Amino acid sequence: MGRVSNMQFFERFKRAFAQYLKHNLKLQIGLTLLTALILAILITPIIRGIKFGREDPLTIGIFERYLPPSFKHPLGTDLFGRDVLIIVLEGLKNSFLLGIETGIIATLIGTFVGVTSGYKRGIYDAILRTLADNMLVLPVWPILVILALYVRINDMLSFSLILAVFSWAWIARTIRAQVLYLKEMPYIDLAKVSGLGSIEIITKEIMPNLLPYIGVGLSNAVISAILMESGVRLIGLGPPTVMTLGLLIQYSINWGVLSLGMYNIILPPIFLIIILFASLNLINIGLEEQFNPKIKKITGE
Amino acid sequence: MKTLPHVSKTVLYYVIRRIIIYIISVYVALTVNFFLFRMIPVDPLSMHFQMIQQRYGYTVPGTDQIIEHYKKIFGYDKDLFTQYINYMKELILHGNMGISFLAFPKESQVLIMQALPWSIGLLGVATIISWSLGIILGTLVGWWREKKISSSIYSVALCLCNVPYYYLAIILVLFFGYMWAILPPSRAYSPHLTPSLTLEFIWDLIVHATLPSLSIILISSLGWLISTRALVITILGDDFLTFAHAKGLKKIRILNRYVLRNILLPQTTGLGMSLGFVFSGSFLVEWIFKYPGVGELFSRAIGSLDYNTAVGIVSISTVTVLTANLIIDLLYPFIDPRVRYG
Repeated sequence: MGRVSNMQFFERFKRAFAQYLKHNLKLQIGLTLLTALILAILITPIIRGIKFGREDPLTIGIFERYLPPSFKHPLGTDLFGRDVLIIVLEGLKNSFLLGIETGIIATLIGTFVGVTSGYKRGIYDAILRTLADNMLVLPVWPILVILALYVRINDMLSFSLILAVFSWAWIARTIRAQVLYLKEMPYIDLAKVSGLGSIEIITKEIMPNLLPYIGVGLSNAVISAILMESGVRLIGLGPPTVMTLGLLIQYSINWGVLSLGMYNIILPPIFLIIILFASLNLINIGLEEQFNPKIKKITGE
Repeated sequence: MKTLPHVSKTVLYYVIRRIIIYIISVYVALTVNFFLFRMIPVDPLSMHFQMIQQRYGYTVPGTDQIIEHYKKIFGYDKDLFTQYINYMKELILHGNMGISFLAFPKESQVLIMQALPWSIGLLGVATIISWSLGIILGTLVGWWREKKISSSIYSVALCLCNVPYYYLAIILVLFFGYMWAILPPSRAYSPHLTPSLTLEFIWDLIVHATLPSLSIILISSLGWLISTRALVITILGDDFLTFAHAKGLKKIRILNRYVLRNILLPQTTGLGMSLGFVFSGSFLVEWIFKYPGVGELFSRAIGSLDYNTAVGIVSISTVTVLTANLIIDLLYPFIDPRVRYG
């Protein structure tokens, strides 16, 4: 009766995904870029080991400051004589982790709210929908600044919790719309008639069909988290102990790297973030094209 | 009115309801802003003295009296509710946002009013240019969507459309401002000039605004390009267009009369929405270019914990968004006959 066990479900999903991958150039490029970035993060310790042995390239004053790019320091050194390549990779890792952390939290909240309010309707739905709609028109940036100031966050987790507060609303809205649509499908009626409870219907019949939307929501939330983080960092808020790409950009601007014309320090973090955005965006659009035939018609591939 | 009594009554109800919702939202937004800032546990002076204590091990004599005096002047010695009533009374009756800490004896709204024209000038012009550019490019890309070049432009746009403006700003400043030193990297006009209506000053303004506006235009036009292209392609599939083709109309005429006209309507609404978001979208661009607008003021206000100014800026930008939404909601049914007042 349309029931699929988890095993079968993932098998099916995997097969479908492989097929999409074959036909969708955007998905291919996006995933390649993302894999490259993840690989870069993973091999950071190896690069570090080969280049510097047991020296820690992140200790202050270990090398001369502002060295130009060379074989030993492909991106030169910064104001404190640290190796820029390693800092940038370290920052990439932390930015990525922060984005994923925030993305997962926001997606969990958004999916929960979206599914329950779409399925339950009534006053609960009305309240949550108003809340989500209002979250979407808030001037996020100033409020984020206030919060970052107010909470004086020192660890990544609370920082990503704060960021997640501003990302769940969009996900909740898309998921809710999808749930409203799915709820009217005949197979859900069939499931109801055959005596499945609400929770079973949600988890077994509705959730699998939501997965692509959840995926798109997740990668959107990751993008917006990294974006918000680097913005907040730029005016000097957020946990100062964790090196992220945003913090690196802020530091280099404060050091006067721009007026010194030291492109080797300021450009790598910016380009890495842009590549990260581009890859996530491509994956997003690729997924949406595959799952939403209407969009496919519009994008006209 | 006489001919359409039924319609006008519905319209009236709709307008009244919408305006009441607007007033409530503005009130709630102002209240929330007030409490958000007032609940921040640090005040600027205690933080300053604490920093001196920590860094130099020196206690400023009379610290407590100074802080007490400051609280009295700013009205923080009363309880929160009284503060709230006073703040709202001053704001609504006199348009007064409280004393600023940045430029002490001045009031916050004076500072904000000085910064506002710069922001509106820079961002307004940039938004309108990128809107027109995006629509033209989007229409062309949609019209020739089979061509290789169109799809590559589109893909690039998709990749880059949500890169924040300030990244591009940093790149532009680095190259054009410092490395090649073609354009001024900061400020709104050269320090040796005084604002006046001379040709020299206006030229100086334009030169200084080039980089900041370019960093907004280059990216936000991509967003307009994408949405325009989507609209064009939906319209191209419509029956009336097939009919126009069948009538043997010239392509340029179809593009002009049939396609562009149908795009302008939704895109004008979009423009209205985005004008509402103009402030919050580009705070950081102003900060990077030290452009004396609202965004730069906000960063400075936060830096020195000038709460009154910061609340004022956030309130103004929230109210702008809400007002833009209200205007669009009220006007849209007039512009587009397909939408009815609900």
